[in-house]
Amino acid sequence: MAHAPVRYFVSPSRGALMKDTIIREALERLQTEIDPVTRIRLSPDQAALAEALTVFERCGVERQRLPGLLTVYILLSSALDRHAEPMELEDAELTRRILDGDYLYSLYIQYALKCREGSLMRGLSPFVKKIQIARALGRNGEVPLLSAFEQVLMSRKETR
Amino acid sequence: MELHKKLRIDLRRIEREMKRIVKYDNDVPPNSELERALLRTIEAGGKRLRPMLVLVGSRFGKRSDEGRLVQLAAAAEFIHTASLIHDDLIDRSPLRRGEPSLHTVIGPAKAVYVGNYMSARVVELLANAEHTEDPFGDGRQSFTAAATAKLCLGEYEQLEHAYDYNLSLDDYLLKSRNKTAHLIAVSLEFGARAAGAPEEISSQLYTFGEHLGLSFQLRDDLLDFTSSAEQIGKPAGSDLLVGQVTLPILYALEDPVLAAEIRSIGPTSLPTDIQSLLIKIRASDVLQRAETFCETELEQAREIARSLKNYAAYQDLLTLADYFGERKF
Repeated sequence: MAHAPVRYFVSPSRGALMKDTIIREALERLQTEIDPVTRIRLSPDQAALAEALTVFERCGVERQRLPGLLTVYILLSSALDRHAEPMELEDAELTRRILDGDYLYSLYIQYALKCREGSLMRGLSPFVKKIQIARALGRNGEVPLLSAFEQVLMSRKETR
Repeated sequence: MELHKKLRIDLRRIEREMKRIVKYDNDVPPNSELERALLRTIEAGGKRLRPMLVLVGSRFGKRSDEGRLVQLAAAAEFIHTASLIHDDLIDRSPLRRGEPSLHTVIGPAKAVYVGNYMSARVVELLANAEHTEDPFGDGRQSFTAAATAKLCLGEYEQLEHAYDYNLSLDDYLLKSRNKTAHLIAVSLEFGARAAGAPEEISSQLYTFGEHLGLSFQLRDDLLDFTSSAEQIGKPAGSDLLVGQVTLPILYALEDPVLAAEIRSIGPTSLPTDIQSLLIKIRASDVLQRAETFCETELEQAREIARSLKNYAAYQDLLTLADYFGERKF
């Protein structure tokens, strides 16, 4: 008698489930925050978000702070992505990309203050400025955003 | 007499502060393309209305940290200038105040980043000060975010309603408040707050600024029909041609003959297609009706100014209202 093959299901770890829940919550928050007139739909890479959560946890960020922090991260990284090169006058999407980047950047500040991440926003401000300087000068090697978050979160952890 | 003289404001000090904000940034390499672009943009000048509004707003408070107020005034102009750089790209406008716009000189991407740098630099400068001076204690207000979020929404609304001849008056007013009036109102409000003015006075100044700002936009709409290319830097009827439905157009759409001609204008229309329509609109009563609307907004602003008679600076608000009413370009 032939036996049906035995399948071993590997259940996702509690940590992975928790990350999924936080990512879902952050994406829901984004939908609430973004004004419908903008028609902005964000679909960030899930693996990159999971990586960001790993970094935030490594920096000692408490569970209840994670969804807000991840939302702040998505807003800022999406704002920077929208303004990434190439930008050509002939690009039919140029107008929307400029507007989306500007809007998401202002929403990043607003949302950071709303969820009491003003201190983080202040810490990030020189990094954000340096990213714009590097881009304006056509220099490669701008500081990766996640690394900037890590540096600021770590410095806040140490001064606590 | 020029507005800044009537308001007893030294514009050179604001321009010096704007340059100082760039030159004292150790992260910007001296004499780099970025520094040159920033200084060129600052030196190109402008009306400098927003910094003047910050300083007038501050006269309603008791705190007199001059240096800090001038910095906030310069920051307001930075935010406005950054938005103009991006606007020129959005409109594909080759000129700004009769000179080549920044993106035609350094390319679109770099122009975007120069604007972004200006916003980011303001956040960096004001972040710590806003934290310590935040009247709510929870940091829920940021000048940069307050100034730019609605400005973007106004742009989206404009984009959404290009060539939309069924636009309602309410939608037009919402777009104009977001795109133009809000930054004017916020400049007055934050100036007052930075000087420690009572919250209800700051709010009244915001409302005053909203009326003032709306009249500013209405005046712009009117100038599109009444001014020459030399005066406003673009040919008459430019708004009409690019599908911006302004107040005179909304009024003109009430006339069936004018409406038929307006509705025929689309993205492929040429300047020659609108010349006879421009003449008919000028000959109709729509410009006078828009002028009356503009004057009503200014009168509402003056009423708020008069309610603030206990403050000597209420006279400055009246001066602003008169200036906005007489603006020719």
